[in-house]
Amino acid sequence: MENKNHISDELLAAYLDGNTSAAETREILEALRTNPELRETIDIALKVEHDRTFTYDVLPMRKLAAKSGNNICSVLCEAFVLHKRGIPFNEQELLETAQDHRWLTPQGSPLHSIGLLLAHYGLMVTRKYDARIEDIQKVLALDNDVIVVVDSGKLYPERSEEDGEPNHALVVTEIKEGAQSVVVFDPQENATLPIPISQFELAWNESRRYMVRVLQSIDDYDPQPIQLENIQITNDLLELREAIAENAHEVWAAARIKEGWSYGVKRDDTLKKHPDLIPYSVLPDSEKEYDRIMAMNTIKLVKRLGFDLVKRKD
Amino acid sequence: MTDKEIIQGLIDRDNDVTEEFFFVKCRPLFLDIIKRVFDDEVDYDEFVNELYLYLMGNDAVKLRNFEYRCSIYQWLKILAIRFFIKKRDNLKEKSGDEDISETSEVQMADNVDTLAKLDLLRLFSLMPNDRYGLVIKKLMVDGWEPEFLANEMNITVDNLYNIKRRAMAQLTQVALNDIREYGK
Repeated sequence: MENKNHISDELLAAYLDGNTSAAETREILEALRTNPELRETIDIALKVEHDRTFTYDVLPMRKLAAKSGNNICSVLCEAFVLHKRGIPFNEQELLETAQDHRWLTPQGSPLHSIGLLLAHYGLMVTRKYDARIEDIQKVLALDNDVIVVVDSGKLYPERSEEDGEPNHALVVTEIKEGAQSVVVFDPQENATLPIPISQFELAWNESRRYMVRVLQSIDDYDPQPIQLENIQITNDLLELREAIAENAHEVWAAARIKEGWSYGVKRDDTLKKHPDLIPYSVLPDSEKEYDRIMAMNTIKLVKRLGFDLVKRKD
Repeated sequence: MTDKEIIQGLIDRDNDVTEEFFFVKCRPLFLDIIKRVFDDEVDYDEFVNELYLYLMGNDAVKLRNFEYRCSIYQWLKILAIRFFIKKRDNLKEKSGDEDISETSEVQMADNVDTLAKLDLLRLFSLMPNDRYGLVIKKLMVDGWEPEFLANEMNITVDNLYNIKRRAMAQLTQVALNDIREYGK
């Protein structure tokens, strides 16, 4: 047990998490008056960013970019890009298409759906989390378009509507020389506005720096899979990995055989022969490894996107 | 993994949890703290290994005594800050043989009478964001349930917790300013 005359690490941490009683809070604040070490500890703790990747390493794909009139800011951003590209569209049709596909819900657009209207109009769209200002600069330098999602409360702190959520879509049109400000089209304002870079980054952090890129040319395609290195997998999920890998092989082989392919020592696309049309158990390790990596990345991606895989007890 | 699974994994010295969690996932946190505590460049790996030994000392008693009053993130953050502050001070005094583990807790104010002087409500009123002040007053002083308050404010409970955390940071800042202005 902690000595009650001491402020334990856990009590101090509970205070910062807002889990102390009024009496405990009073004690800690009073101790701040007399204890410089405590002041320094708290001062540093407040400066160290609350890193959501630490315990909840989840990308906010299902969060809703919503704050704009009727929660249609992402649709208006996509309309902005279509207009800029000279692609004819009807705003009402855009809304209906988005609603029909559930890319737009009454509460807003899930982050992962932003850009699907543009893809519907034949544009090439890719998405990236954990992007940096330099990534936006690169995309704009190629005359491509960028839609980002931010916390509008942090973008406009004077409006005191901060809620720490990615809730608003913007089109970035320019990064000012020296990266002092970011110029954005804000559909809520129906205007292009300069935002100080530090303010923009704070607001952008809330969406895990989510960026939708609209490409002009296939040459600009630069695949950037979601980073999964830090996702932990428990032992039962490792068993699942092997099952998924084996089944993926079975699915692939069944589809090939259905299309008329059969086993051959060497791959021959004309004769439809493939050396991997053999049971998973006798596949070379190099091929098994390919399936395992795919399976592992799938499991990790599911977790990273905020879903849990739970083993049934029975 | 839940906080409970992480704590148990560390206590059990599970290699995967220890490596992945303490040495990989926590790396940005520890790096940030070390940069803020030490003016000069230090050996990150050496310092973090020492922190690990401190955490696991006495058959991991710190982990075993963890009561889940806060997130493991917040707890480890405080634990690491205090550990490294103490280490820095020891290095400055060139007395590296001092037992850090026994001195990391902070002595609270002995003069209990002074507690009465601290008026929480006054501090709440000094907070620049009225909404923040309201949230912690309702939760802490009035004892409202988070679910009820979130419902009243028409926000999600997750949002309320975010606001609460920011409110505590603002309250602390207000208290620190108050100390600078009127304190000892």
